[in-house]
Amino acid sequence: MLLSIISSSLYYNTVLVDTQAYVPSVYYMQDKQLQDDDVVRVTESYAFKRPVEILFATLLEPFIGVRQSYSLMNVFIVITTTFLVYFYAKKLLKEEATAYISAVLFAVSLPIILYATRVLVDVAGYLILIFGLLAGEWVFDKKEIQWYHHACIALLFGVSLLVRDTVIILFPYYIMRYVYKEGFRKIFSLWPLVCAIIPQLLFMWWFQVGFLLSGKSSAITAGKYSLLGWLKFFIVHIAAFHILYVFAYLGLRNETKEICIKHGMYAISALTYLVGIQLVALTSPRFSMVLFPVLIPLAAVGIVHIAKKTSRQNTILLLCILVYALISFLGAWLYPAHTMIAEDAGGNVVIQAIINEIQHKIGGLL
Amino acid sequence: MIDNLSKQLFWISFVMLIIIFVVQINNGISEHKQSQQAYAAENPEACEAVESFRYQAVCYSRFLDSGYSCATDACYFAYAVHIEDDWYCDKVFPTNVPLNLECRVSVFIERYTHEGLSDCCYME
Repeated sequence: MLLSIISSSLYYNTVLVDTQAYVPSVYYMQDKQLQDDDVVRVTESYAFKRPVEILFATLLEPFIGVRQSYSLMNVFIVITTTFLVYFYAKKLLKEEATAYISAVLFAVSLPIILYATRVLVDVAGYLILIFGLLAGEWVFDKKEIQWYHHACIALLFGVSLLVRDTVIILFPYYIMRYVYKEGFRKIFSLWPLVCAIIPQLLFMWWFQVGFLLSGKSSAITAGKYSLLGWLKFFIVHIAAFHILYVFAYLGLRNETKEICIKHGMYAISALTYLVGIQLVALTSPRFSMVLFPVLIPLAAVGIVHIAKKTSRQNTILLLCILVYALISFLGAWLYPAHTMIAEDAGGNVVIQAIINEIQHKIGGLL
Repeated sequence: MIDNLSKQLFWISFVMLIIIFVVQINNGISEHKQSQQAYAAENPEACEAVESFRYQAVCYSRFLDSGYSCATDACYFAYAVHIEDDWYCDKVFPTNVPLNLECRVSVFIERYTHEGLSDCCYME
């Protein structure tokens, strides 16, 4: 919890491009008389299709202001998600040490430091992911899975779609897990999942906003398909977890087949989402974070595996965590904030922006 | 194994939190002094001496009604918020990304609450 608070403090209450939609969305929900261009800014924005946190910010805004409403809520969401990561890892790996290390690694991840407590709703997306995964485990623990279990999951996923679209990842994951457990012949019993779209449809109809992906077709440009576009994809997603990939690889080699299959199903779903995001929106470490339910528990297993091979287990564990935390904080501090990177920019633009930021920050220090 | 690790991590993060807390209190005290300085300024030239960008903007905002013409970023920022025009932010801060975003968001807040400068300018 303390680590979550420290991570939350670096970029607390700062703004990003999307904040321009989240702020007027609160006033729109409060039924204030908005200027025409602000109404367009809200209703045609992608942000307004995630109304749950906006709604809570709307309720808090009269007391602490719009920016603090989002930021403060996000601090509580980071802390809650850190606890849920612990429970999820404990359920999955059945080991206290790896579960604890998973929660610590989550709390000091670069995307958490960089984005969690800004005036955005991304961290709510991580909360619904881990909550959805725990709910999924609850269903798959049942001896006999009934239609009403799927209906509960559909309701949860449906409401989660109104929190953040990252929950889309859980649909193919849930279907794969179910088919893996029950076989193809029972696939039609998943019909209640179709109902998950109902809350989103009701919201779109009530507020007369476009469909989930409306307006995004204009964002699909040639730049995203180019080699440089994919270079950006790799730079951003590798930067998000940096050395954690090495620990996760070690963890993967030491995991049971059953857990590897579970992780594999989630990884396929999450990677499909990330490729989709690369094509219709900007690529950012805050999207890479959707890989955390796979990477973080695996990395925890990897770190414990390294530590167990040495005589000074505790020191090695602490060292691995501190190195990861240090790189994350340094990376978050040096992440390009002074250059506007276009959605379809290539990897060369990202590298140049990083160099500029290093010159700006380090130069500023000197 | 985990007991020792959790104790060590607890103390590391506890000390770091205390440091952050002390730094924040120091910043708060210094900001309070600057806000007093900003409100006490009787001419716009005195605003330049205010260190915090937010309170510099607050300071300038008090002279904008009387037709003061801006020459600093904080004053342009205050003016954009004063006239509630996000396009003006793009005009005066076309390349400074964090300032441009702060400016636009503050304009939106000012439009509907008149508190555009009260919680602004947390720039990286």
